[in-house]
Amino acid sequence: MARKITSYCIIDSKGIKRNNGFQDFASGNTFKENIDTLIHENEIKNSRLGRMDPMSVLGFVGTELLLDNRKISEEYDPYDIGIVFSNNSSSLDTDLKYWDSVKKIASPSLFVYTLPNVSMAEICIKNCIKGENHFFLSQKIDLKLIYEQCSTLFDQELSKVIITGWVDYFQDDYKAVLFIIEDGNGEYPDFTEENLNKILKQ
Amino acid sequence: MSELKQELKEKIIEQLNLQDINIADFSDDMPLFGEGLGLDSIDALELIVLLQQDYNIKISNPEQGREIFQSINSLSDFISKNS
Repeated sequence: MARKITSYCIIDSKGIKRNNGFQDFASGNTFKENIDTLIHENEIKNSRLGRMDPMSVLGFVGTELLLDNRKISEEYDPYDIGIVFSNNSSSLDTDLKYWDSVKKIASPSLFVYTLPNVSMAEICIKNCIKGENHFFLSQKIDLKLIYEQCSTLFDQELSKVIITGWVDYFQDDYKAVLFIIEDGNGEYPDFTEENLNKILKQ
Repeated sequence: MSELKQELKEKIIEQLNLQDINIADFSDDMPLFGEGLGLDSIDALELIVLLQQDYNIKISNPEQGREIFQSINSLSDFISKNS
């Protein structure tokens, strides 16, 4: 079997694109309005959602939709499941909110999200993932970076399946582009930079 | 005292953003941590901030925390004795 892109999910202010289609968001909606719609319509439940920062919520909800009720830690050894994320803003949105809170009393619940890696931690907690976690920063979506970092994890046998992509949020400007990469059969596109780009551009 | 307990429940739900909690189900003796409300260590820090910010109470001995934050009953009792 070859390495394949077996699932994708793209969320931005216009709507959501998934393997099975596209759903528009109403024009002018805030991030919270759109993400609450996705949470409600897809019955996404997690008691921690109310405490997460917006970037973590975006990554978490995007991954839930990407997995689509799949119990990935029952299909793979949890240590063989990796996450490779990237973005431009790091955790800057939360960093600024935390900095603002410091003027009175620093908020512990904001502080814990002043690191983009925590978004991956939330996904790992929910899905019992214990494998490699990497978070990179780049100025724009860098599919070459994603392709090369995932390939390294596969080639070094550190991961057998990887949830990867871009999760960026800053002051209500947001985009998540997520993929699952694993061995698969012919019905899925091969894991190549070109195919990642085709999905992104559609 | 019952007014303080109600106020604490409302503040905790708001400060900790506990969207799934219905205040009617939030009993005075419900454990705040572990089984019960299910708060975690970060929530404990937020409760310390709430005590300081809203009731002007600083917890000088962290060992007291477990007892103070046991439930709404213990928390309101502590506030009443220290404010």
